[in-house]
Amino acid sequence: MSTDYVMPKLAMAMNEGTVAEWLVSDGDFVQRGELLLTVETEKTAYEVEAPDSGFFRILVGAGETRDCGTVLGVFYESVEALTAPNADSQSQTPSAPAADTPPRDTNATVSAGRDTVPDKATAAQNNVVTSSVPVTTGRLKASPLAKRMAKDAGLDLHRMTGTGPGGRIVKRDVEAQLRSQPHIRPQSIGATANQEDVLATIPITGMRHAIASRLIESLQTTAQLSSFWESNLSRLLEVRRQLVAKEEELGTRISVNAMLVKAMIYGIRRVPIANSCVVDDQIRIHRDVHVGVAVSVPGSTEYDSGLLVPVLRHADKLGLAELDLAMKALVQKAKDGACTADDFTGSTITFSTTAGLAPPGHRSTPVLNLPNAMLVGPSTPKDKPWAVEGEIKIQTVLPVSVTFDHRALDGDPAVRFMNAMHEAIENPNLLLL
Amino acid sequence: MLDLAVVGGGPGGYVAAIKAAQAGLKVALIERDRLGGVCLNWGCIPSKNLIHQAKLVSQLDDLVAIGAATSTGGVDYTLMQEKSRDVVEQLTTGIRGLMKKNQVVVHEASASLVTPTELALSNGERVSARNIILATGSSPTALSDFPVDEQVVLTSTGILAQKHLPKRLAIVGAGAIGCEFAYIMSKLGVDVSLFEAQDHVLPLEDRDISKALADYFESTGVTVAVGSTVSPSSITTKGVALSVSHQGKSSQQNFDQVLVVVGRKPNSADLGLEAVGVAIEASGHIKTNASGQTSVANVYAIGDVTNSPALAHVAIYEAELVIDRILGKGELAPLDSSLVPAAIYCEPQVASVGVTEQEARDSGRDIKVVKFSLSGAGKSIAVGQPFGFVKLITDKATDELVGAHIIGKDASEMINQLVLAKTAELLPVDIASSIYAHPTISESIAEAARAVIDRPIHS
Repeated sequence: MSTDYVMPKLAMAMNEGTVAEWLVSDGDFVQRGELLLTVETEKTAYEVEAPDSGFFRILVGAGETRDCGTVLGVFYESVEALTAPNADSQSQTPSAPAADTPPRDTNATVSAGRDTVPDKATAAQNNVVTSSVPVTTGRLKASPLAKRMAKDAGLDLHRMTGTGPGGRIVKRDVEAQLRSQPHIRPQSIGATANQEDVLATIPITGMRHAIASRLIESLQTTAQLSSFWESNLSRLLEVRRQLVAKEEELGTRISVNAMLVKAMIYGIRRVPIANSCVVDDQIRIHRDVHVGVAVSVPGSTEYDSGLLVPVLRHADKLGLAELDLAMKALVQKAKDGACTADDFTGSTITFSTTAGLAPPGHRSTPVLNLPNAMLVGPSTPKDKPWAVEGEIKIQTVLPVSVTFDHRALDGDPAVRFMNAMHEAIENPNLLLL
Repeated sequence: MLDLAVVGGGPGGYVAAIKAAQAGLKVALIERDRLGGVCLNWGCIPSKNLIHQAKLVSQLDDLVAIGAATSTGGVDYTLMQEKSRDVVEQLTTGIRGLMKKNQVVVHEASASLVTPTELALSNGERVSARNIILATGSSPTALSDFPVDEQVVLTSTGILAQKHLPKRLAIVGAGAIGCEFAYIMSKLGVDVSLFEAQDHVLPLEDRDISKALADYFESTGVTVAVGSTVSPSSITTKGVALSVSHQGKSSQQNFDQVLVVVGRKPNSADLGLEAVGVAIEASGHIKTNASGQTSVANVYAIGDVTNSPALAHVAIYEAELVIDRILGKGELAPLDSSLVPAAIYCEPQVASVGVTEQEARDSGRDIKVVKFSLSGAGKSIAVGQPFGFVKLITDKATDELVGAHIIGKDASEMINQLVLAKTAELLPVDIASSIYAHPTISESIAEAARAVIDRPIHS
């Protein structure tokens, strides 16, 4: 009896990995939970634990790169199996007669006492630790903590392999699954037989749960006040056209968003308290500007969406082109599911645009992203008649909605911030400051 | 050639020998002193017997205090000592019997590695084995200022061997051993001063627990000086004069004896480690991987001689891990120190598992802390031992039990429930939903768990 060990999928964006170093020797008895190897991806290096116990045969040497799911080694139950002439990966000897494999010791097997159905689709999708993750259909053995964590994260315990006593699913198994699949799709999609009118059922778990609880907390614990204005965008768009003409030299096609963040930073320079957080009964006004950028990401079904707010650090230290590049890279990283927990902490102000998605002239009352005291939410511009030097002209006008925490900012500083931002949008020369 | 040779017959070593023999391996055990090691001969076991006897004395005193008994007229410490040695004798005899029953060959000698598969014994014999386990344990750490003679300057071994009590005893080091002897000696009428360099007693335990124990000790007449430094100004055959620096003041204090208990060091010298390439750390501990293997593949090390917590129950678990590995089985998970309980057997007892509040906060974890006083459990009042509390530390996000700390009567027995809960990954709601026998002191644990989930009743 043997179990293949495959290149694990350690991040959502990971398609292949390099075996940097084996942390065990060929033929060693490896204990479940022991560090097995170091895997390198383009982004980082991971130390990976052994998902199984057994005598380990290394099939792919250090320095080699393999696709996720490719067999790297095999766990054997005994030395005899390891050294048998035909000992090889299961996947490479599919014709091995079943009778040759002795029954596993019932104490040691993961699936003892359960009915298991191999599910190749799941295995390909999960690629977690072994080449075939069985789907449990019988009684599920999982610790209360593992159940709680799986429920919170929207994971299906039936598709997990337990490494606890008697094959019980324990905390480390859920953590391993979370590491390998940061955004798992809930399993209970689709109508059940007696609820034919339900298109999809989306459990409020995982990201959905995080969004729901944070927004409720925001609405229930702060004094939110929303405000709106319009700025003539025509001059800013003219400057942008000139910058876009220099796309090659600048290395990026400067976006309106980057210019609006610049205008926001100009506003913060004039009214620093706009860049503040309310934490532990204190208003902390920050010197550095770390912008939380709201990014819409796919949801768990085709019907819903997800929302992430990764942080653009030190936005105030970046020139316009650098800021534009950094913001685009951050948004892409979020959409790729490659952000880590660190990417989501430490924002001092929030930027949440609906431009392009919302109808022209759209206004809203955005909900504050805690603990930030200010959220700036521009939307889709609209061409409309506008008084320019005593004459009515058609101009492109940007609607901006903001929400601020009245615990931190009163009307006076809040409107001064808005006015400064408005000034910078209408006089883009100020963005040079 | 044997399958296994075990060097050291303490709790780790003899359990390894028995487990290997039960699996059909040919095993030898080499012990230079007495089977059972420090734990059984000069540590946990005799001290637990003395604690038991001290507790009996204290209970008699309680009866005298309420007028229900007349004065006992003091105790005969020599007889108490004999009793504790009887207990040791009974248990070592038991281990000898187990060795015989399992056909483990016992050599009374010390041993050192000659090759990775051969040991030279101090009696001139040679033992060859495919696998070797080093389980040689640890010895008390000495302080250069305090030359140990086991007459005036004592280690834990010396104080367990002596047959008479001093009038005034200084204890240097308020870890588990220091606190246990402070309790024993003070209950037997010795005037005890407990000195600790760190700013709280039981430096490894939760601060709340340390403070409660120090306060309790002081209320029973033990002088506790934390954040103090001591050095001898003179040592004679009659006693010792100590220079004590405490809270910015210096003083000279005289004692009949001083007990130095400032930790333990691994017994890794003279084992021939260098000769065969077994790596050690700067501290002298033998380096091992998660399954007890040293830098030489077939040589393993377990217990106090390695860097894992110096506790008998850790050595026993490691013994089982190593034997599983040698047998090619993998049923046990590698040692997880967050699941290892600690117990201190003074009165009130102290026991814990997992992290302290300080450690949890330092790690940046968002935690919830609840305390339930043992006086809230009817049984504690009924048996006249209401002192102490249960403190639970849980993760705010998942409710995971990350630390549990108990001070009070039978804490060392109660902690095992929380070890079980933590190992099985039970949540506070599981504990709170269990039916506890009434009246018991353990009900405090259920009450504390109820408080975690905001359903307290008796608080």
